[in-house]
Amino acid sequence: MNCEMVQRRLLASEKPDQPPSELADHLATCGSCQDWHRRLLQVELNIGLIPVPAVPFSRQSFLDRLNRNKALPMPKGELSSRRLLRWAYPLSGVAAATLLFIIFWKGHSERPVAEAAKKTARPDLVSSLLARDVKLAKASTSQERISELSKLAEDLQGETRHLARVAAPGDLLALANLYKRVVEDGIIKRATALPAKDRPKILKPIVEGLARVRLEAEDLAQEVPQAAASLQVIALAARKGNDDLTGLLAATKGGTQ
Amino acid sequence: MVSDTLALGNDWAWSHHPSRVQGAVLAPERAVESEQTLVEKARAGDKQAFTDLVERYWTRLYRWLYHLTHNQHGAEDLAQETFLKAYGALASFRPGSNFRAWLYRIAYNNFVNHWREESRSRQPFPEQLAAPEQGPTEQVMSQETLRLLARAVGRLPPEFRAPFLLRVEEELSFRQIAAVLKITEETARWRVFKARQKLMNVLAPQLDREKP
Repeated sequence: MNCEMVQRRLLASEKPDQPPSELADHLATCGSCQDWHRRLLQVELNIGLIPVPAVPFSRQSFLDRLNRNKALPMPKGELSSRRLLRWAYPLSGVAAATLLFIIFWKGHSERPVAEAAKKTARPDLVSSLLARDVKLAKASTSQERISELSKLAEDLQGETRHLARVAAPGDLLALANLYKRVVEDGIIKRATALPAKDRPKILKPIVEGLARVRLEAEDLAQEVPQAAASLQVIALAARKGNDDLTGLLAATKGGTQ
Repeated sequence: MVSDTLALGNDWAWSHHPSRVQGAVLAPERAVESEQTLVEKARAGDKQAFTDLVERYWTRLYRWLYHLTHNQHGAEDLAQETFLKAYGALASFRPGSNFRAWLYRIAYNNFVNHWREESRSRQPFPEQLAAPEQGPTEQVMSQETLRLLARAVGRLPPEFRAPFLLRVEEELSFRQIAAVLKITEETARWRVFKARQKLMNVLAPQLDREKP
């Protein structure tokens, strides 16, 4: 057995530090291969010593969230929204930003949410959003993602309308802007990635839902003037979403996309 | 819990693989049995059991993802996404099969889906690094050589780097590596072979210089 063959077999071995007898016999008598073998083991031994930057907060943040299953913790000393957004990014850029905002808003809103709002807000919203994020993270197809984003949008606009009469205008507006982001940055963008043959079945219910949301938001804006600005944001976002998706469906039907 | 992080007195803390941290040695049989129990409990809804699994795998998974992405934030995000997906998919985990391979497969899928095409800016190698005092001292490389090794590993093609690190750091068999990366066992063996060959070629001159 020559040196080249021995070295190739060691390179291909699952455990080069435990060579089979025929290779060990050669190593015992060949100084050159002994040196080479020692270098190979040295290389592999030192791989674990290659340093990588540590991330002291992300593991604990994740675990805290998992165990509490309510509020997302903020890493100590790092309260910037950018840091929060980046932490939640892996779930889904849009859904994570939404979820973070909801939690941050409930706990840290600059204008305190009215007591009535706190009492009337759906107590399971955070849990349902968390569950939504788990599903989003699990989603592996565009169809699944759009479906979850659509439900998320429903939750958000529903919450906005639910709190229209009691929440501070600034808080409502922020909520409405998030709804807008979910629709425009989430649903519409992903819709274009859907296979053409799947679009009618998946998008038609969403189109209908957006049309309904627009009408309901416009109606409520007339009933609750103090919330009109926020409700108009929702109505406009729903209208734009409706228009864009309708156009996409028409183009699909015409065979242009 | 054994600390696997070195604080360098600046904004960055750097970590080694947990198996290379003093005091981190575990009896393999006990670790495997314990993991099976944890996985069963986690599947039954025991959140603490899943927490223990996260504690066990977080650093090593993050390290592997960092070596793939060359980006701290990207690796961090991918690690979080992986554990989140694993948590949501526990019901689909087949009892008795290899949890680690399953977890790493989720991680690799996430990497392929979300990161593979992203441009990668490498984090700088730390200027100062205390060599850990363990193992045969003649086997521990100088900082300069370690820097060369890190660079050489980083320059391996991703399709070689991923299986090589699974073999060397995670000690997965070629069969398990194949399952993680969805390749054949022979391809896994070949890619690890090529990775080792490249590293040896690059480092041979430096290692010869350091030879006592």
